[in-house]
Amino acid sequence: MTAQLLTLRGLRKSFAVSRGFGRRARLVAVDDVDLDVDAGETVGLVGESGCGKSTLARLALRLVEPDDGKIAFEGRDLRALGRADLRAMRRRMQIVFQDPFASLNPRMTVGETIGEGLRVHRMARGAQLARRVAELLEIVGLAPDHAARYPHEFSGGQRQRIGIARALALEPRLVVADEPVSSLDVSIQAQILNLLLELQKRFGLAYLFISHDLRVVRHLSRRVAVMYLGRIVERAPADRLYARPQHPYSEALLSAVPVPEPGAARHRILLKGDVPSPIAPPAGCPFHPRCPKAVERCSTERPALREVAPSHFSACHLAPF
Amino acid sequence: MSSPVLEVRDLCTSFATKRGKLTAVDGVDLELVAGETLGVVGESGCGKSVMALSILRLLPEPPARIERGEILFEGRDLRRSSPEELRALRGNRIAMIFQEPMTSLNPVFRVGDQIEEALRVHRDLGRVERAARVLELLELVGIPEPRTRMRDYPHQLSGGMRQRVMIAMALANDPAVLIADEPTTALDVTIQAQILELLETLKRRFRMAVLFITHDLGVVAETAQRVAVLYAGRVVESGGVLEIFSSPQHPYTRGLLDALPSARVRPGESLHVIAGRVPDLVARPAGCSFRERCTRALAVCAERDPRLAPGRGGVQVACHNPVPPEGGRA
Repeated sequence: MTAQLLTLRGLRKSFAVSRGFGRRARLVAVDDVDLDVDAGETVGLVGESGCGKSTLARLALRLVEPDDGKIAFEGRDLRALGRADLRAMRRRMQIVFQDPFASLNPRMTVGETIGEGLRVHRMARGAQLARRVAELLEIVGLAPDHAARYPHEFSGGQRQRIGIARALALEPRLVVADEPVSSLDVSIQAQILNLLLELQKRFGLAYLFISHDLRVVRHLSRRVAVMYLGRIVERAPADRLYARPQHPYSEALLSAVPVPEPGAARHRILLKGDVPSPIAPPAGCPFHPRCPKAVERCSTERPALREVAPSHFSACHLAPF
Repeated sequence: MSSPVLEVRDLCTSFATKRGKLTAVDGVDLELVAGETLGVVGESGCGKSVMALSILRLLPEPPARIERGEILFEGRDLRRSSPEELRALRGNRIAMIFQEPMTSLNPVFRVGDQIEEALRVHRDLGRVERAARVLELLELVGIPEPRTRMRDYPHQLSGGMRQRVMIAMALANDPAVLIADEPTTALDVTIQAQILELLETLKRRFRMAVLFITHDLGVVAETAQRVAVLYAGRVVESGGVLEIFSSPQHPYTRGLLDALPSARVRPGESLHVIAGRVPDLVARPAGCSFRERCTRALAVCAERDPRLAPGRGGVQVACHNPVPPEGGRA
């Protein structure tokens, strides 16, 4: 039995948004989410724009304060921790962002960026700090003398390596990776995915890996959760979810991914319309207006996430199918 | 095969930069046939967008310069056409859609008015006829409640709906050629599937020739009948989509396909990586541009630049040591 590293229970977060002319509304970004990440494993989180996956990532690290729910890391309730304790805990959980251009401070050298956490947490200084930065650069496949350079001197893939080195500096147990390869070309994407896999083996890292790309998620994850309009609609071991999805949204999502095999026999499920606004989500099942399988009950009764096969959870009234 | 609608011969486009002349497109040949989609694939900086913009003469000259080549459309060379002739052609016989519809639509005009403008510029229609045509176009691209939506401003529409409006605008004057530059890259997969389906239906219905530019090999496999793989401003492999994807002959094409996580790689296993980076297009090295990253490079690759030559299955490949059938994968 592996140790549970991160436990999220009943997590909820809404934001006040302006609708113009002084009218306010609430946007529910994350709605009653349960999710666990075990030590050393990768949990993939997939969903389309605006489904709340990035907000969930930030909630998990308490970078955003939840309205409700529980976040436990290594068995300790993060919401009950004071400032100092939370800061100490944050060493153990780090994040890698999508945009390697926006997430590095252009006025700091690469060495300063990577070493900042070590300095803040008083884990290294002087020559020791420089040695550690050089070591981290080598770990992510860059040269130690890159420490003196500035982010603009690097390509997108190299910048993503710098972001990863920064996350690794404090020897975390959990790394939340929010679309880390989405802005990269295919050949560079493969390099970064290989690096993430190698680092996981070497340091026993757990990843919460967030992406809109189902192929990439499949390649990295042991378990996968699918989000739609702020809720997890399906959660299962990766091989099961990809082989036999138990939510019509996951089915449609999987069938929509273009595969590089021309003429491959496939049945594409085309969804009607757009994702509804999270400000006024539909009643009942939030997916019902686009669902090809929807029945009467779906428009009135909200389905709960329940186990429809061993370790396979679905929030669909009709599952299993 | 019917004769091509649009033919590009030896197109070469450069930019004047501080460091010298950057040759972004270097001797590209393409043929577009009615009712067929030609997919152009390549990674950032391979010259695919510059190529598309060169065809429509949409690049600011200078700093851009079309050095040589012919762009033949309906019997004339667009390189020799006057600005007026080009304006009459663009958005009319040749239309284009871009990646980010928000930057291509004017935020302060209603979408219906923007489509109507495309009609007003190129056609002699009365106000009532134009309004009817706008409605018809919005229906054609699958916009629900077109009567209401035509009065919306671009920001009121979702990304997918905006791309539909762009497509409606492009189709306004029944173009013979549609150039689509990464039209689904900014969209979510379920919306991308809708737009790809729409483009396919419209292509068939109006027998358009489509030039589809993308970095996504999956999208090309599903939309194109023929493919051209671009690397460092040159076509390195071109031919039928089935032939190229089932048995790529250029090591770069092979490398791109292998770099994708797919059913052929077990989860968690190392993905194939193309080492190194794209050459400097200001000072292109002698010989093959891919040779420094190539696992199959021979001595000759440093000396002579490979030309496109017939390979297997009617595919053209620019390589001195092409990948053999079933080769390259362990």
